[in-house]
Amino acid sequence: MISVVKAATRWAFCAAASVVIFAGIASARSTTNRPASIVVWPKIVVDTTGAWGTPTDTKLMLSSTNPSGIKQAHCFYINATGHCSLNNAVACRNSLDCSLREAGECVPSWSETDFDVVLTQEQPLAWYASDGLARGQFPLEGPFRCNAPFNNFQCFTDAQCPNGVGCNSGQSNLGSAIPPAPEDPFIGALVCVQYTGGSQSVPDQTATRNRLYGDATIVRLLEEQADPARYNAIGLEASGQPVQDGRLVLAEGGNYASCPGVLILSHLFDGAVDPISNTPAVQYGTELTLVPCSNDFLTQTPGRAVAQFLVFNEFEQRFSTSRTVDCLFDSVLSRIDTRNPSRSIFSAGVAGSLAGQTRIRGVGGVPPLGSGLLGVARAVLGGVAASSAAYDLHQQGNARSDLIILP
Amino acid sequence: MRALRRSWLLGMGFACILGAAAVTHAQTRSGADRPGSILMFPKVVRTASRDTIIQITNTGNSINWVHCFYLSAPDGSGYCGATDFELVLTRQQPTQWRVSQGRRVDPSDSFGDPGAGFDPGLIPPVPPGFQGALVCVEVDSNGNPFGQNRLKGEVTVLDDSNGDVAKYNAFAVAALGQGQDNPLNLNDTEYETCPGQLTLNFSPRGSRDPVVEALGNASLNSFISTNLTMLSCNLDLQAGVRSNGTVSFIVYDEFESPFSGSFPYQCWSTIDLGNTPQTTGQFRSVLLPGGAINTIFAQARLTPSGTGLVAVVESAHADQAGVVGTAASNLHTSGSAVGTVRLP
Repeated sequence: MISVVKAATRWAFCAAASVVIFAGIASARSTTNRPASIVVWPKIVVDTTGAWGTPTDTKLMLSSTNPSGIKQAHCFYINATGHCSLNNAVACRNSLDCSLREAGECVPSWSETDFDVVLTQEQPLAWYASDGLARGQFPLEGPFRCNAPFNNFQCFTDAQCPNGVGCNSGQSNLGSAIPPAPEDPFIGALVCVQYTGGSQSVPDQTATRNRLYGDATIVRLLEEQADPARYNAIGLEASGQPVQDGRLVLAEGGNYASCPGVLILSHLFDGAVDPISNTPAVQYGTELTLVPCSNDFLTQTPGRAVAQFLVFNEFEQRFSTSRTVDCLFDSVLSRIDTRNPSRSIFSAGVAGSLAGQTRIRGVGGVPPLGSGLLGVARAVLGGVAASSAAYDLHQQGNARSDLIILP
Repeated sequence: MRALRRSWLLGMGFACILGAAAVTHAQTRSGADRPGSILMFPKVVRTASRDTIIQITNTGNSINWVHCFYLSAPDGSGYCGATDFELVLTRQQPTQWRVSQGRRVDPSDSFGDPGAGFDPGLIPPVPPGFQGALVCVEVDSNGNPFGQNRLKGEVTVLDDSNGDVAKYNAFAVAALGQGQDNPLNLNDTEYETCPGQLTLNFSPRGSRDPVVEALGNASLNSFISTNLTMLSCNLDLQAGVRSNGTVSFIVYDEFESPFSGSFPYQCWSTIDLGNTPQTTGQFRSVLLPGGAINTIFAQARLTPSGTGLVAVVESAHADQAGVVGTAASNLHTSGSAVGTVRLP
């Protein structure tokens, strides 16, 4: 009997030691390939009138991989559209949008709009950012049938069924509403946090956490063709540690995976001439969008960090620059460090080779928010009104700690 | 008695290692968003109008030798052979080439030329009509597999006739140590496993694109189609033996209605979803004959038999005039499945 107790003790010790030793390794991570509990779309553009040059809309897809039961996503549209200083009605992304209309400088702004989406098991859901999805547009929202013996009665709630038999609503999208983008033109981001659903809905740290994934297709209408650019949303896995006071800690040992320590962007330098056609009209370019991992949605304080760029060309030569990421940063590469793109370190004429690698690190966040960054890139071939393709950035290491504060 | 106690301790130690292995198994880092040791580019094309730009980057601070293989298997002959070449990348070095041109070793390339930069090695062009994949493996200076997890890659497929571009990240398999041997075992011991399941968000074939119809010149009759290209994680690059298998799938539309089926794959396969006998009903919109999907968005879960798969999807949005814009993206992954890559 004593030996049995000893054996059990040893097994318990072994299991505990394994868990302690390897807990760090088995921790959550950020990903663009796997389902997660926080899903971030860094770039959403709506411009149905073509005020910024090309009519554009963004198709957003959010899916649940949960094999049984509903999952709720609590989502935040982050509106990073600026407005011109001399004409507040003119929306802008940067000062170029205002100077073209002689409307002064672009004054940045930040606001968030939150909403809930209820997803049934294995359900894909998609919407266009310009429209959203209103009541009546969701796939599964009734009317349902009352329970037996009153199956012929239609209902939305239990109160609508006789004799208290209840409404058999099963799994549905009831409780969901997705507003359209708050303005048009619009540039911004979307963050969705997986909740448990039900009456006591809280950020999901149960065994069925990490069930959401998403992607976005930015569709631009060029003169002669559609130009879809698709990327996977970035996921931050939940660790299983319950969230306290609506503060989502994104760190090793926190509630969710750390944001990446370094983002790696492989690109062709701006202005590089296509080697096959060899015509100056066909040039490469890359647009980069960065958003801070941290946001304080309670006090409406956007995350802020400084992005440090290390740029390597094919000669193993290194350049560096930095820019502040305040809420959302969106720019062609060769305008990051100068207003004269031909003199930029991201210009093919300066770098001297076609391909480049840029390593991006976020530093200097404002406490208690961190300095982690997420992003997406868009490769462009042939100038402003050219075809493009979006792609996810690679990730390396972990940022120190980030924080999302929920309202 | 002492021997018995020793055997207990040994058993416990072994169980601890097993437990630890089970825990570490859950934290796979292979994917399309982190550097790795084996790069898999599932879709590389060179047709009359389309060409491909490959970008490979060494993200490490030491030199990296890379052995690459163009895998060509479009003719259905059963051969899954490869053409190989070697690269040497200095620290943090990016490199690029068009597959139709390859890349010469020419130290006299002038500043700003397409071939400017440290030449990584002689890269052969692919023949016209090429459809296949590219696989690159980190090796040491003697050509033996050597995992450093420093490689990342991107592919840009561009249409020279209309300038359309589509781009995706290479799938990177992480090594779990250094000094691997041939064949490369993707089994969570030498290298991490491949995905056991792939998940795809898509619009069924024949769906209309509301953005094209609302904002474009096409008025009505836009058309969305989706192409899926798969590369097996079981590759015999030495003998060119083709690996076969079946992908079973289940499709959910927005009403949560499931549709299932299966289709075969070889070492490399590409199919237009909803346009083959095995996928007509499940991946095709009700707007087309034989289609079953009643919503314009759906989710598909693909499960290969036997071995792992990596894949990339390309969606094409056509307007009324038939002008097509495309977008490529990596699939979401889950689970794990073993694979073996045999080098020459």
